[in-house]
Amino acid sequence: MPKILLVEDNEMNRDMLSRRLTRRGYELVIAVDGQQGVDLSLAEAPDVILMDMSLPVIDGWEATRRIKGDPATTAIPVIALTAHAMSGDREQALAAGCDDYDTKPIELDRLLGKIAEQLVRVGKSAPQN
Amino acid sequence: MLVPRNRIFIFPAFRGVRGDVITPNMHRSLRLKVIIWFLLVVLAVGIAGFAGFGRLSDYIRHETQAQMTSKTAHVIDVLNATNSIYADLVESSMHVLKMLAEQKGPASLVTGPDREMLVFGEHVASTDFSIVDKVTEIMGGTATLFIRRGEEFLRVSTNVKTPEGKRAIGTMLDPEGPAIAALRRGEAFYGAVDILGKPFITGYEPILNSAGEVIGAYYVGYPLDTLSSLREVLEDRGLLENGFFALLDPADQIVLRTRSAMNPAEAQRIVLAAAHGEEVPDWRFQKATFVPWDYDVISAMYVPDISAKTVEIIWQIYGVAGVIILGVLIVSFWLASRLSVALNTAETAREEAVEARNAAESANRTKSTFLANMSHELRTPMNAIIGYSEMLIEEAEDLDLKELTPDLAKIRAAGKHLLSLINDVLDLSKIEAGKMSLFIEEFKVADMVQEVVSTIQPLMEKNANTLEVEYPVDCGTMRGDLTKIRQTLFNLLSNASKFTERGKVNLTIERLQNPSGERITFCVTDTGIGMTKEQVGRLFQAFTQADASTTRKYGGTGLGLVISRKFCQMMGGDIAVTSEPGKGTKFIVDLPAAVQEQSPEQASARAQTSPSEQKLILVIDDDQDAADILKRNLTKSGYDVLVANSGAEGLEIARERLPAAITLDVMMPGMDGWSVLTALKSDPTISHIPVIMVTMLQDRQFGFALGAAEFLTKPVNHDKLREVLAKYCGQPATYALVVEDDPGNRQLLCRMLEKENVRYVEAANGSEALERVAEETPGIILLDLMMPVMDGFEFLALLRTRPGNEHIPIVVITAKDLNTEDRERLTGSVSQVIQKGAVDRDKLLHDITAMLAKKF
Repeated sequence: MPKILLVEDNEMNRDMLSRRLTRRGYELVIAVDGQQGVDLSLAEAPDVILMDMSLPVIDGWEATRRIKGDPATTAIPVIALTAHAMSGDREQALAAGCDDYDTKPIELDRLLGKIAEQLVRVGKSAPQN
Repeated sequence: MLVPRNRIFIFPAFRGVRGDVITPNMHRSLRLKVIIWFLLVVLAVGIAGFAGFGRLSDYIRHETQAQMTSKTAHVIDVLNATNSIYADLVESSMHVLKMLAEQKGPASLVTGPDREMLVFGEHVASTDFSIVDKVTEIMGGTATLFIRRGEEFLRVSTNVKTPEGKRAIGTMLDPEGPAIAALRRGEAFYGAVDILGKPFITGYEPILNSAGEVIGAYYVGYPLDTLSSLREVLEDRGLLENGFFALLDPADQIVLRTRSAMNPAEAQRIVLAAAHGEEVPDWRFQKATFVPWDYDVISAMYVPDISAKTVEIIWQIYGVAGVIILGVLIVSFWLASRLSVALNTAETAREEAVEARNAAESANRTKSTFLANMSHELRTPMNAIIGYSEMLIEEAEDLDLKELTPDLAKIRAAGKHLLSLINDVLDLSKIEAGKMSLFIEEFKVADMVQEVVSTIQPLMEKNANTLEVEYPVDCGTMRGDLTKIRQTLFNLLSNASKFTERGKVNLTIERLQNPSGERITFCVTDTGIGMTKEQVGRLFQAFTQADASTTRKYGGTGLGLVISRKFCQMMGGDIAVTSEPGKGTKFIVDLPAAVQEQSPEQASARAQTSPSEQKLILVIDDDQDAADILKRNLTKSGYDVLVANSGAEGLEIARERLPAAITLDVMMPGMDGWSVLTALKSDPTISHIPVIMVTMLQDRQFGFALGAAEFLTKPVNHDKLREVLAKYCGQPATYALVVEDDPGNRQLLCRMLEKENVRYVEAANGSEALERVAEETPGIILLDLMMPVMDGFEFLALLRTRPGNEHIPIVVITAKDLNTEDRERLTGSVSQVIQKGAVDRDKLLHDITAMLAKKF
């Protein structure tokens, strides 16, 4: 079962997304701030990380930079999730090292597609549902 | 001095608007100039006074001396004339006397009872005065008969009076006088003589007896007491203040002296000194002697009078000039204070404008931040609403609570609708804030279209519409912002579906080869309610739907089209629309097959203006902030901008770079805008460049006279500036050339172009067309093939050989059935071939405007 680390501070989004992804056959690990996200990416070695960008303690961009800066976690695909739709968000996320990008509100199918794509890229496969 | 007094007078008299003395309140750029102007006037007056003083005093000295000479000569003349009149009188009078005496009988001396007596015949002259009285009665003057007593001559018959008023009988002829010697010798004497202390013009002749001895003398004379004629000559006028003319008799008595400020005793002392040839300090004399009478004519000038007179005249001149200068200063001060008020007002306005601008910029930043936050704040709860409703639908199905599904679906649909509205508003805000960026990626057109179609299908079904999609199998890939193109198509299709019921919606995709590159057009046609011309006009304006009632009936924000069009413009394309009420609407999305990457600023610039060749604008402004704002805005509008911070720099750049237009600030230190404008317009290499004056002052007439093209008032309204620049350098430089021999067809085409505001030129055959092309390169050529003189094929062949004409897009409109050979001849040199009669007006116009747009 592919393991997803969801880094999200908003409780509702966290709850909803984690429940929906669990239903699709993923194993979910939850972090509520950037620092926790960095720590868990190392401790849990997830297959994919879903990273909210507006996070307390350290923000999503910084957390991504740290994850990508650590040889132990650098290979884990990071998909940025943000409600920021202003120009430059995508570039900023990609510049921080994110492998892909999706905007909130989440369209589950689209997100699932992107997750599957990243899994395939690192030689894993998405759960058949 | 006079002028400082003026200033003392002026300064308190003029007060500024706020009531304080104007100088401190005067605009700084004027204060110094006004002071310098005042000092210059004072200096000029002073120099004129000093220079004038020397010359004026020389002149007065010279004039006075000339007056002395001429008056003296005149006095001598008058004395001469007087003398000769008296001489005649004396001679005549003598004649009468002698005649009267000799009538009585010969002269002799007889011895009387107590003395010797002079007799003429029986007439005893010693006792009878009738002869002398008769002479006086006839001739005036005085007459006397003398008797000789030894060497003396004694008056025996006379009407000369003694000082007591009696006849001077018995008195003697002056023994020292000039007459007596002549008489003793028996000769006559004529001349001026002092008689009893009074000057006389006289004549003496001896009386001879029969033996020829001198026994007495005849005398006639006139007193010199009538000198009024001399007073007239001298007009009782002195020389300057203290100088004078004087006439002295031989006894050094002053006979006549003209008016003088000197006291008489002092004057007399000076006259006598002059008469004796003595020098008197500070005095200059001229002396002449009238010989017949031995009279001296003295003219005396007091030297300090010259300076005094000079000063007096200069003061008189200053008196008059002072009034004029005072007037000039008052007027200039008044003008300066008015200008100052204008400048102060302008400066205040400028400061306010800068503040307002800063406030606006800060508000804009706040707005951007607000937008960023708001998008997050709005989307987060929407995220939850949509997400949870979707999740609940899934869970309800799992839990077999299918009766809840429709309600949950409604929540989700409402959430999605609300989200789309929020997205529209945010999108538009982003576009307008220049924050919308493009994400260019390569994708398969067919895949994208399929995706859109499948998304839109439910909407189509809702209104019972059928959707037909036509695209070539090989429509391949395109590079562009997939999301935005998808959003645009979705928007157009959903609109088409929304405004059509039980109708047909058609989506046609075409790939075109254009001179400017490969294009892809998406054409959405519906058979819906359509729109009137007015509605079409308002279609792409933000916050207006075609009709206010549309919102109530059909919902939506009306922003979708605006956003879609801006997206397309950002990608170097556009959306065109044609519609007919009741018949339906047709939207054409025209996009380049490979969209160029752009910075967000350029993107929004493209979104605001039609694609245009970048033109160079020179901004001349000393205010760096103002120049930066102009530059930023003009760059956004697609212009290349150069900034010069001074007039001199601006001129240099203008000469070097020959910009398409110049914006020129009026108020600059050093070389101001007017001087720069004059310099620009007087240099033939740059005088053609339109100059747009940016000014706070309303000196339009002045500026237009100097050759300014336009005026903008600070703070600059950028829309207005864009409009003006478009007028002077963005105006379509190109036109459509209609080459068609049939006047009817030609007119038809021309009318079409006219309606679309496309400039056109007509040519009846290929030869004429070549001439037109040589005159001005057209943006597009609409070409008939079958024409007299020179047909379309020949025209094409010749046209393409001429340099610079290789890229003119050509649309062939022909009635000829083209065979293979014809087609080969046309391939590569024309953009499009349209069969006559099959002209799709809208399509043709669209192509023409698109091709022309590339040229702008």
